[in-house]
Amino acid sequence: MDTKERLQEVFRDVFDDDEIELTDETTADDIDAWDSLTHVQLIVAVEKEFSLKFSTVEVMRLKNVGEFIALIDRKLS
Amino acid sequence: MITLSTESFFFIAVMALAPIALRNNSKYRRYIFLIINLAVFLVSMTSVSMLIVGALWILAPYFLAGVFAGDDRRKYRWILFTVMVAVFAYLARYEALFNTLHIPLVFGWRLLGLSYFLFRQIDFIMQYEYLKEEGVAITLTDYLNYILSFYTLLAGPILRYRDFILDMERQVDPLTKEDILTGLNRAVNGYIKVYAFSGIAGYLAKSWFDGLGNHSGVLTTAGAFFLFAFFNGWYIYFNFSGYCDIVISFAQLSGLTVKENFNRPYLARSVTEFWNRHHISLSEWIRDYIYSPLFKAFLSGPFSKNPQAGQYLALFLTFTVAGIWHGTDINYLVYGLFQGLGIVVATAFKAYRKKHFSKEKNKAWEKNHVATWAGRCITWSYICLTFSFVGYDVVGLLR
Repeated sequence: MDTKERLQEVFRDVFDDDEIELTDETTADDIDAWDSLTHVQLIVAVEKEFSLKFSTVEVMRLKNVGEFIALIDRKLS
Repeated sequence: MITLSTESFFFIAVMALAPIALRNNSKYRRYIFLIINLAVFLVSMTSVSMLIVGALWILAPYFLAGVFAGDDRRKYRWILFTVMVAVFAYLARYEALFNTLHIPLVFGWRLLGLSYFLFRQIDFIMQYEYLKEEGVAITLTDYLNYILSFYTLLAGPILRYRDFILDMERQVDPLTKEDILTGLNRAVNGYIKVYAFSGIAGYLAKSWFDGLGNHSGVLTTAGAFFLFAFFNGWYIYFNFSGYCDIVISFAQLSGLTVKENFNRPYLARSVTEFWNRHHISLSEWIRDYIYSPLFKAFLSGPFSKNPQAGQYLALFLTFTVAGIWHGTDINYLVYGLFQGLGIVVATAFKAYRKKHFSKEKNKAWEKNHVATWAGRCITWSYICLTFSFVGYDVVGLLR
């Protein structure tokens, strides 16, 4: 599985919605359950899935899923 | 020393003349801005000790941000933040804290806009590495302009370093007649809000507060207190949003952007929504730098099995801290505790609706006029009552 597919699984798990299909342009506006609670839950779940740590500012600067994938890939490499 | 306030001749003169010097694309624009900022800062100094301590306080983060950057040193940044918050508390004169610690408060002055310096400095330090990576300008001139910008020196709004620099580098169009009329119209409205509406509301709030002891019955005292809280709520709104109108419009005349800080806050349906509409730049700052890291630490640790409880505690602590930041006496702690409580109740209610109502029912609730106005009345009353701790010794009164 590539990063996007793995990330999609995390999204589906956190938001409890198996129909979520991620694109690079996906933002919080596209997913009903994406609020301040689930946002932080999502970050922690992604950290666990990829065995990574994100800083406050890295998370703050993300504008969409595409940037999130790029950040994960950069950290993994 | 000149007192810097929105009605002072000095303030109005600087605001009126600044566009002539700043509304251009000259390569010297940032230096001209720096000269004005330094001049405004210097004339607001009351003593040499204030100038020396102020200069050290302002400059230290610029030189230390790089020291605490990088994978091996970033983890020690908490030491820097702890020292900064401690120095801030000392300079802001948190008497109860330092009396308890038996530490004498030797400086008899308060640095203008001190708490806003702290917010901007923390943003600069937190963003430092990413700004470097992105190639955003980090020079002493840019840093000082960011920290000392005379538009936001008095009471914000809280700008972010990156946004500030990108805005400074933006090409500005020549000032048109329409720009001047639009800007002045908003500035005059701001002055009317501050000196007419807020002045009247403030006078009435003080009158009702001073007369609270004259009532013998519980109901009449409660009624008088509510009237005091009502007028005080309007005083705070008109005073602060009017001030923001003034600085936003004057900054626009100089081709600079100061972030909007209010969005009709008294129409909020919940305390959560209120804080998304009132003092927006502060809400966003505490969300980014207190709430999110705290909640994330909770989720990664003690609240991994119960995220909802972790969120409530993170929200409660965040708003309590924000309350303490607002002022140095116990009234502000109580104010913060009430804000925290209000946010937790609003968040819990939303979570309850989400869990027990269908999506359609939740959407119908959002559009329901009765629910909307009931929510607005409850929120507005709660906010006014909690705002009564701002600027008045309500705790002393209750004792």
